[in-house]
Amino acid sequence: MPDSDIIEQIKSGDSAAFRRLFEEYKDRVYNTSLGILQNASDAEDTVQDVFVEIFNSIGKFRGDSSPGTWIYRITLNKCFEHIRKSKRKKRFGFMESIFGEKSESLNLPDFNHPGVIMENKERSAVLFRAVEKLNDSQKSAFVLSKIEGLSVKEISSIMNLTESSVESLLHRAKNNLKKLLSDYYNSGL
Amino acid sequence: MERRDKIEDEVKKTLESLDGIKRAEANPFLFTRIEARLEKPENYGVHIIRYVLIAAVILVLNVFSILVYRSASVDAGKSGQTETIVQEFNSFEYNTEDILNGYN
Repeated sequence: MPDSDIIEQIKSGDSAAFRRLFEEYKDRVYNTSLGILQNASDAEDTVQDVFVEIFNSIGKFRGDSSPGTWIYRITLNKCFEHIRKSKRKKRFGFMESIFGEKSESLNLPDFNHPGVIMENKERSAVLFRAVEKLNDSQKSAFVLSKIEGLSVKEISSIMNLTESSVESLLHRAKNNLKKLLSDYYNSGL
Repeated sequence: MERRDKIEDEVKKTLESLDGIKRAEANPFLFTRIEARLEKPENYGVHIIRYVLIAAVILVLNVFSILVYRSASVDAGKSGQTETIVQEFNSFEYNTEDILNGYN
């Protein structure tokens, strides 16, 4: 069944259709969130936020873009919203410590993506540490391309950019990563 | 030169470390948590507490402003009284001089 039909069924109050949409997109949303947030627990929270948002705003979905594009957009928004909230929490961390609340760290120092093959685990952890330092748009383009495996065309419709802009973003992301990795290996070797 | 080549090789291998990556799978039980979140009214209690706090802050500010205004008008009244006393004292001085002049 096409996704647009599932969306129409959800709009008409079919809860089973919402479950089908979840099954269809849960891994894509989780994998994208995991690539950006680099933390399994944060990525799970984001999956929940994304599907709650989908359910609450499905009435506003007009079908200008494909449901997949719309869901990826919500995912990116929720990920960066999560990062902003965590940064705000960190900024007021001293207040939390006064009131006895535990402040959670945004990212674990060494993140291992479960989908990376065993022999590349160590190197990919180094790469993820560098990806963390990219700006939001370069990080989004890199994660959607390298971790989600989307084409430039798909990324361009998700990020609302031209294909050449996405290519340029990916090129700059790769150059920045090269620079960061060179510095890393230069200090270590 | 050899060191630079080695670094370039490391960078290249690290950039390629995501090749062949498989999509991470989400916990299927997440749907139960999503359903639970959709069933309960979203942060209703938090919103109420927020509004109550805002109302309390506005009330405290109002009370504070009234107190400041009242103490300022009391001070103004006090300084007015002082001025009257000084004026009365001055007029008394003039009267005394007039009296003395009258005697001379």
